[in-house]
Amino acid sequence: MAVMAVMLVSAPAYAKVKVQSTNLRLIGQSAFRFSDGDVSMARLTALPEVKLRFGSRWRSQIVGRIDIGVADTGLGSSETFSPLSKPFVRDDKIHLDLDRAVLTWRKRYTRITLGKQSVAWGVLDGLQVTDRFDAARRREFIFTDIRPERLARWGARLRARVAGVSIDAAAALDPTVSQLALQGDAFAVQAARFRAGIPAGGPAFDVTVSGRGRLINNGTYGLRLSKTFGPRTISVLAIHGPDTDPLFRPGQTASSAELVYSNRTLLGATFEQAAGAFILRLEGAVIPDQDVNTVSPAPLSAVQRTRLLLGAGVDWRGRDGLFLNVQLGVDHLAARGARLVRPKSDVISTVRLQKPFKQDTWLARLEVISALSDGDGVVRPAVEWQVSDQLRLLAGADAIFGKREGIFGQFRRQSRLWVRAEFAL
Amino acid sequence: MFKWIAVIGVCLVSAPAWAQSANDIAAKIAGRAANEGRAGTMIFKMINAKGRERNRSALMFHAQQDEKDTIAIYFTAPARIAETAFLSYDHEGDLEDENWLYMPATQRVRRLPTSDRGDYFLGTDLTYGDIKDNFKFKMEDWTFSSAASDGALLGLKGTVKSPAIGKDMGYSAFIAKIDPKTWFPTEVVYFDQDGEKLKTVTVATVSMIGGAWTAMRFEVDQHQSGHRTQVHFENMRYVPSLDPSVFDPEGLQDGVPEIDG
Repeated sequence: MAVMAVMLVSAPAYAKVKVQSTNLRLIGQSAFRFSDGDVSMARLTALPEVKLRFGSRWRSQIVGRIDIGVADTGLGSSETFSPLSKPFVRDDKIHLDLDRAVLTWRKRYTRITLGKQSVAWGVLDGLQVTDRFDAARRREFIFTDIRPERLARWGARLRARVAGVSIDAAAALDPTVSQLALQGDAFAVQAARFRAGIPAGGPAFDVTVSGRGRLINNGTYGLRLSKTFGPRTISVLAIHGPDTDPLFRPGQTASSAELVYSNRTLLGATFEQAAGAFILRLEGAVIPDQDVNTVSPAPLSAVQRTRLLLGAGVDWRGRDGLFLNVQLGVDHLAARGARLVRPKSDVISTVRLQKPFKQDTWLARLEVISALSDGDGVVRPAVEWQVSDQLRLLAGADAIFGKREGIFGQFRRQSRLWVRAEFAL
Repeated sequence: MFKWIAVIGVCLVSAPAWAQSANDIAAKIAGRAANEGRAGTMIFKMINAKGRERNRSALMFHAQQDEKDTIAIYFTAPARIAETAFLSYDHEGDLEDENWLYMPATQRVRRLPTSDRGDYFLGTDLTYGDIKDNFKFKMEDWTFSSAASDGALLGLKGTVKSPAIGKDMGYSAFIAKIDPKTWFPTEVVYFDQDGEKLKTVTVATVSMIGGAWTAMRFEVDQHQSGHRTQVHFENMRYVPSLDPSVFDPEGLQDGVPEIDG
């Protein structure tokens, strides 16, 4: 942050500051639960933004966030944030935060970005195989418009090109991890596999989050190298840093648990190939040091195992804007004799179909996400109407099905109809 | 009788001249000079049949480099789509065209499947083919014939060479008025695959930018839906040495590049 401050002061010292744009987005959304008709979410979000230019090489972007929410869905945890990134104002109903604050220097293919930023790697759409650098907002689990909902973190990023190879090196010196729903909120995890094997109706215990204050040791570091060969792009990458999902470990007392985010290393590769109306995408990753909770006499025990993630996806574009995306992902843990709290393998599929109408003023889409290994999932129909250049209205449903212990089925009682209005100035 | 034989003889001699004339006109249009690079602000106004307007503005960069035609469009307004960026490589020969789209909400540059040329570009009445063809009629797509001239303007008709081409482009035929001073169409009426009048493109203003005639203001009237798209360019300038990094897919997420010129 000190370096960024120096750069922020230096840049305008020799370059004229120009306000490139100022924007304000307002999002109002509400959801109604199928099971009881109650309002399960009512939230208003304001995202003010300013973009600055300092001469031809420097630019800056600052985006604030104000979340005001009532009802069960809540605004999510703040304990998972580092002291650097905690919302300035945080209580049950209001969070005031800095969503993004970056200073970028650019010359030809070289960009240096300092500040609070996201690093979106991977090529699949919402299926996170190699896209595991960023922390994410999970206060609504994965039932959001954009997946994942990324959490920006303080750090630095260098992108350059050498001999036709794109280099992307990033360091997030910010131990913020994925935000969770608070206990008692609509999307607080219920399935035992996400609670160290303890079922939702089991003994109550207090949960704390391990301290997020160690900048260097708990930072996330990544390097990605990519090369494009005509219609195909290949990349290899490595990420080291806190896991995006927590491990439950014994807390200070017998009736408490601590969420721990162990450092792990991910080695991965992606492949993307264009072929006419199709795009083929492949991703693979191995995490040799994945910590995972086990079922054992000692409570909240864990082992370290190798985790393998694979994903494949196809985009197809038909006539008049018809678009289909189909993806399949496999998440496999080598149990090696341990009784894991989660299945050894999860197989997830996503299918998305969408079509615009009336000169792209209307969009209809249908998405089905399934855990084929568990037989549960969610059907997500939605329709969007671009009323004007400033106003967009959306409505849809999340119809969740499956057994209570499933990845998605654990939230089946939260199936909902939702509406959203977005206003951009 | 001899008079009629003479008339028929003149017609037989002249008929090939008309056909050549149409092909000559088309060749001159297709052979219009291009420039190495240009940049400018592109402003779209889209008006539906009820008169409701949507406005877009974008910075556009266009270059012909290394046997490919590249277009990069960075939207700047309205706020909802600001920083959305589109990049297209139109390769000569057999290589597939390539497209990318960056949407700020996803924070990812996404490679797009190649659209049919007849698909409409981002809600406008322009197709991807219209944008890439740049007011030229490809010799490999059309069979040309003469149409009635209109004063100093030459008439040109075209019919698609095959149903497959027609299906790809979304057109079966066109009738155009051509300015012989610039070899630029001033008006093109397109017909859909059923032969019904589909849309009229009217070019109001052309300017010489870096040695190439460039449409600066034009309008597309979609007759079947009643929708119109008005496009004009501001500050369009010749930039012969556009840096290749301007057309780098990964650079789309960094916003509009600064260029010299």
